[in-house]
Amino acid sequence: MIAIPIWALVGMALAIVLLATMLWTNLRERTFRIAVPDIDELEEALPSIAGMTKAIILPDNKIDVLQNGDELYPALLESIARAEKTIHFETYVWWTGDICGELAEAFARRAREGVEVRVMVDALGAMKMDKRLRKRMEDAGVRVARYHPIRLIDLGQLNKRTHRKLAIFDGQVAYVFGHGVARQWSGHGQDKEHWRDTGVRLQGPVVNGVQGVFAQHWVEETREVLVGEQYFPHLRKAGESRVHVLAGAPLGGVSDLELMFKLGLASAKKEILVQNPYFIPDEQTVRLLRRSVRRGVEVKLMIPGSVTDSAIVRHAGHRHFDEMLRDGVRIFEHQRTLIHQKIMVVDGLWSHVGSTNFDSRSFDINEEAGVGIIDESVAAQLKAAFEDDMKACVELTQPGWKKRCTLWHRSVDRLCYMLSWQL
Amino acid sequence: MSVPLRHKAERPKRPRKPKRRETSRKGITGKLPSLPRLPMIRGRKVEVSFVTASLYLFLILFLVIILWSTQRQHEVHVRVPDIAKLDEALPSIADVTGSLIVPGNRVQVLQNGDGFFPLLFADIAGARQSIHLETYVWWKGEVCMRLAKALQDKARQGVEVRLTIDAAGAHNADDHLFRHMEEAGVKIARYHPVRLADLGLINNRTHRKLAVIDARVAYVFGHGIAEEWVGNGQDAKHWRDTGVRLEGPVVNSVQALFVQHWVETTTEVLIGDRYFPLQPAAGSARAHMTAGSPHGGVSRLEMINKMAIASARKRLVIQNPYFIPDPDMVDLLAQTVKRGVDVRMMIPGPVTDSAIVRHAGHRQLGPLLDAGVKVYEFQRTLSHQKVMIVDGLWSLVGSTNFDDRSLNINEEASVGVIDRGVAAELEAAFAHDLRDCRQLDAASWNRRPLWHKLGDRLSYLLNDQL
Repeated sequence: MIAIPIWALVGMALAIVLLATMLWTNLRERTFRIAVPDIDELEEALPSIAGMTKAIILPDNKIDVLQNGDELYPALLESIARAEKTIHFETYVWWTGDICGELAEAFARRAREGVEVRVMVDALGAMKMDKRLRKRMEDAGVRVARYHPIRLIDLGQLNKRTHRKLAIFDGQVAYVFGHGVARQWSGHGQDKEHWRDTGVRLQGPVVNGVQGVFAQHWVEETREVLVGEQYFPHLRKAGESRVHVLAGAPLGGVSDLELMFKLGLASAKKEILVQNPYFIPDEQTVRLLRRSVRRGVEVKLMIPGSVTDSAIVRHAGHRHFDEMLRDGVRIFEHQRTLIHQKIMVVDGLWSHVGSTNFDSRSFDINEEAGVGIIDESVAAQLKAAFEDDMKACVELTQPGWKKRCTLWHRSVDRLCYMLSWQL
Repeated sequence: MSVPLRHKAERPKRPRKPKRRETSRKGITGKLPSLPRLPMIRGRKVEVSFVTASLYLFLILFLVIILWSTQRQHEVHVRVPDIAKLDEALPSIADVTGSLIVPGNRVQVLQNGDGFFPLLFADIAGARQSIHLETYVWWKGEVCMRLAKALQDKARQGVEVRLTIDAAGAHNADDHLFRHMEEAGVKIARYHPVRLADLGLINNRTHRKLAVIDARVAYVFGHGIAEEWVGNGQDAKHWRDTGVRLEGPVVNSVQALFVQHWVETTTEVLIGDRYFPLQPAAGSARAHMTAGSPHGGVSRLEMINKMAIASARKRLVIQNPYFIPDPDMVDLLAQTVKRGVDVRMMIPGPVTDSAIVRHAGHRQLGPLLDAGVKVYEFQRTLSHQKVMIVDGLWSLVGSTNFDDRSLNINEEASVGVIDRGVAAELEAAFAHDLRDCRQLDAASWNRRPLWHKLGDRLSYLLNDQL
């Protein structure tokens, strides 16, 4: 036993309370009940949606939709092989599988040939990365940076990961996708071991914007500023699509991506298609969907069925299903594999493709990247893929859901939903 | 820590009250065996086990580390590459800092209150749809009343009026002005109100100064809403400042910055043509908005400042009221001089509202002067403008001071203008200001009195927060 003065004890207790309060006020999620207005004309609202998310709509871009690993990986490898000056790549997931070796080898080969290769992986998402691959890349001259390394002085940042998936070549061609680097994404979503995902290849003025998003994390972790024509060239017209970049940098303030998703829901007049692997709607989303259905909008959501890598997210998502089904929202559960793509299509005109899940972790915690594409043909392609995915789906019905939702299931849903601010 | 404390405990510290100590000790010895785990109060001391005490200390340490790790500034020792051609590098500079250069803008430079307030008031009077204004400083004086009255009148006419004021910057304002405005229908948002639930945000203020009128005209400026900014910078009571009036596509970017804080404080989303219209070209200047988003990561404003300095090839002009360069910045400026660039810098002289910032800034002036940077102290009044001009082509004007508070803590907004005419106009104003300046020379500066040097060093210790 030691004797300490009362004031010291009280002081310590006060210090703990004060510090805990400061920490809590710092980290607590500020739930913004955004007052989303009714939007009369989607086309007219689009500049505002871009403006509200601090972006500008850029015309004259060319878009190629790339489905699953079978289309994305070969395209990436080809772009890697053809790059002349710079190769930039950012990912969250880097696990194991043939594709990891193939990519690493391709990066290493080009680095040896004198191309500047920069690879940014999330320190947590790439924990399973084979150390030999990293070494092989670094030996060849690839600059590998890890986002938010796990260490004591960054303890407060531990929860904040980069979930972005980007690749930019010579500042001329960019890829934005949902795929990770792992064997699960190879193939074409044929079974449980091979997941579905969607990405896009972009050419045209918007590539500068995607490069800017990459450069932001790069300078944060490496202090290297990317300036020059080889990174930000003057970009000419490459196609007809209008595109805006969505980059979530959530700390402090309203989440841009949440705002974008919600404004998308609010502005639909005909049809909303959503495919998302981690879908946890909050009460406002439920209300927005209800309003959409009442306006006469056909609302179709597709989420994973039994094939999911996160049961807790799935349960938290179920929290409002009963209500949504009663409102007339159509919900489809995909049975064949994990649908990992993050797609939204509004009125067959505006589409979102990127890394952003429909949950608080993506909206308020992690760093995300996506693009909003204003192009009817891109929307049509994504819609066709949605309809193709529907063949492997079971549609939920309200009576069926009631039966399935035992008291036990409902309580688990509620418990999981309580954690939703971290999911 | 425990050893001296125990010593003290055995010594009667306050002999005035020996009796009370005696009784309490007696009471405790009686209870001690039955409640061994509770902290025991003995007079003015508490007995706790060593483990408990260490746990307390450990918990405090742990919280401090987490808090610090969330708040600690990622010092930007950015490796700025050599930038050969400014014009070619500008798109990269803008994109890396999250802004986008848009062509087709008209830019008017507004000097001092006299050049600024009349135009602002005229635009407010002519507004038909919406008036958006964001400011840090809202103090007291006639200009506050006039502005409140003008906004009130427009709100009564049915114009949407939105005002974002910083809760700390407007701390001294007349509350009844705000009340009258609100009664008239002006929507007022207070940025980061000072309250317990937001304790962790208390240090993060909006220092932005913006106005957007009818989504067609925007102002970006350094002026505060207070009597100090009225007039023409003629004396110590009337300060110098610079702003710009913008028309054209860049207005949407200014609007986006206003809306960002607006939705944060009020959750009202502004959608539609009336806020973000298609902007036709209004002039020939290229422009980009650069905003500070200090949360996490490298400060964009610090990056753009450093890149601007690194890209200068002929001449560089910096006017800033709060100028605290770090050693990195000194190196960068020294290199710039070595490249043959004419680097001229104007800072406040005796008239300043923050002596500590001035002293902290002095800390690195010696090395700067030794390196050949020309430093001028403005004598007549506080030169409050935040202006940087690179090679007579690229100008930055706005709210951003050259210190850690602006670069890493607060929310700021500056506009970059790529236009030779605008740069020439700002350079002429700089030349005009030079007449009221005293140039510092290295030899006599380095001989400044010891107490002055000491004050500089002490102030600089706080530079993280200045």
